Parts: sequence; structure tokens; C-alpha cells
Amino acid sequence: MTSRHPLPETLAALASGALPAGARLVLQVHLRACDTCRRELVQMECVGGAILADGPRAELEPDALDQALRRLGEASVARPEGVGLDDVLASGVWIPLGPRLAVKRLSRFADPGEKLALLRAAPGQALPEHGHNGAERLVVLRGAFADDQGVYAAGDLSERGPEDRHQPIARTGEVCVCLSATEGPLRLGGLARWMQPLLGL
Amino acid sequence: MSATSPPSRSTASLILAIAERQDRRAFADLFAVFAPKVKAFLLRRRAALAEELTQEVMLTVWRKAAGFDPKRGTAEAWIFTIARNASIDAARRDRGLPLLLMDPFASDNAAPLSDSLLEAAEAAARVRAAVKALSPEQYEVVRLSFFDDCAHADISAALRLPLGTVKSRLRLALRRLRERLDDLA
Repeated sequence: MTSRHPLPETLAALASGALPAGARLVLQVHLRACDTCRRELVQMECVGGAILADGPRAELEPDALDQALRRLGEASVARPEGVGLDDVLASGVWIPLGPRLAVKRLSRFADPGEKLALLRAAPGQALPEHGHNGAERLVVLRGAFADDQGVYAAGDLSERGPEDRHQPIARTGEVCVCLSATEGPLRLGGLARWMQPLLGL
Repeated sequence: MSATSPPSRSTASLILAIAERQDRRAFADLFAVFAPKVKAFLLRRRAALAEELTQEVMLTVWRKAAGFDPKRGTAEAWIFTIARNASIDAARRDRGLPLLLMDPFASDNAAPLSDSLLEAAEAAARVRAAVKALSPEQYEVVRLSFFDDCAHADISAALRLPLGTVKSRLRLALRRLRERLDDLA
């Protein structure tokens, strides 16, 4: 059970489909660990269902139902269902950022204008201090980190707005792995800023 | 309970008829109620593909009817998520991006729907009542969020309200919905 949850409006955005793909993957990591948020997501999807059911009707092509009935017997077109969370996390290659920090770029799974990356920090290692142009959502997969808001353990989710600089530090004793999705590029401080083009962050 | 969906032919019972005996008549009934609503929803999101995606959504309802799990929400919510996912997949396909699995928690072995048909219909009525109990102002921000897929900034522009007001109104509306739906799922 995790203790740090997404904001209610973030779960509503996940339910309505407004959340970009990278943020959705970050939320999925949290949801896997959090029964409470899974239940709230279901409630939000029920709200979506009620809004749809009470919503307006658009006119269909005159033969829309006939078309659909004709296609019921068709063998289902085997359209690929899509890449799952575990396959996303397992893809890509780790790029070392010095001896104690590594990053894996996963932005090809994110939506345009969004960055998605796995970060791996040795015990006690600080992640690059950074701000964001848009929201950042960060979830812990392994180990734990601390920032000015406290400690985040496996499954915990951190949501930060733009203009919100912070510097997560991996707790001592265990390697920390996090999945981060940001809207708009990160604004890195210090040395990492010079490496940013190389990192694609 | 709305006049347009008598309990005898609730959305869940139509889905059950499709799942249990590939009932084409039930599909036609479901199509008559939901296809125009799904199209209206998709017109706000992928206008050029709305007709085609509506077909895709309704065919997915037919094919996956047996996978509908009332423990994962109402029948209306299930159709909503299929339509939502179709619009997200269409946007990703347009841009040549890999499609992502939308629901890693979907269960393959759903409980038999007939056992919980009454609960399913009651749950749908409760959700509708909770949404209807919102103030008109709250209903509007919720509707814009879920139906029109509006970001907070778009809602703020559409309603000519400060962004902070939109956010606090939405947050309040969501809190009220959660209170009323707490024991639902």
C-alpha cells in the first residue's frame, strides 16, 4: 500500500483520457500498487459513463446499423492490442550519467511534447536538481527517494507543477529506480544542464 | 432512473444477452441507444474519424461483451472506456506512435454478469443520481472534462472563469462525487 497518491483531478484526467501517454504509464505504476486509487479510477470512469449516457446524440450514416450488423460475423481483425507497461519498462538501454546515476529514455512511448524516462540512482545519490516547464509525475519502482516533501517509497507518486524545482535524493541502503514523465522539457540545473542535449531529457 | 433506459433492458442486460447468446437484437438495441452518443463523444475528440471509430467501438462492444466485469464499474462506464481508448489509439496511430495497453488491470475471468445484473443496473442509477446531484456549475466543469476532453485551461476559456476557479470547482465536484460513490467499486 502506498501513501502518496495522485491528485483527484489527475485520476479524473486519467479516466477521461486527457492525461498524456507518459503520465498515464507513471499512473499505471502507482495503480498497480494502490487499491484505493484503482477504486477511485473506477468511480471516475463511472462518472464518464453517466456523462456519456446523458450526453447529446449525433446523427449516424443512414446505414450505420446495417454496416455494423454485417460486420458482426467477421473474424475479429487482429489489431495489436498495444504495448504493456512491463514491456515499456523493459525496453531501451541504460545510459550512465557518471558512476552512480543512469537514465533510460522512453520518450517514444510518450505523447508529443512529453518526456518519459527511467532514472536509476545509487544509494544516497542525488538526481539532477531540476525544474519543469509543465507538470512532472514521478513514481518509485524500487528503493526510495526523499525531497523537500518527504520520503517516497515503491509505488509512491510525486506530482509537481511548473516552476516547482526540487532535488530528489535516493535513500541510503538501496538503489532507487523511478519513472518520470514531464510535460515540456526539464530545466536542469548545474552540470546536468550542459549534458541535457546528449541525454535527450 | 432515466426514462430512456427501462430497467428491463438496462445496458448491462443488453451486454449480457450479447455475451451469452450473441443476441443480434440486443446489439441493435444497444446500438440505437449508444452509437449516436458515442459518435457525439468522438466528434469532440477525433471529428474526421468519428463515424468510423463509432463502428469500431460498437464492434468492440460485441466482441468483448463476455469480458465486461461489473466489478470494474457500470456498463455505461465500460462503453465509455472503449470509446475513450479508441480515440486515444486513433490519435497515436495518426502520429505513428506505438499503441499502449490502456488497462493493465482488466480481468480475463470476469464474474458471470447474470449474478450481478441487478447490482449493475442499480450502480448505473446511483452514478447518474450522483452526477445529477451536482450543482449546475459543478456539472458543467465535470461534463467539459469528461465529454469534451477539455484541459483546465480550455474550460477556463470556455466558461470565462479564472483558472483557479475552474480547478477548485472541479476539485469540489470530484470530492462530492467520491463521497456519493464511495462504496460503489
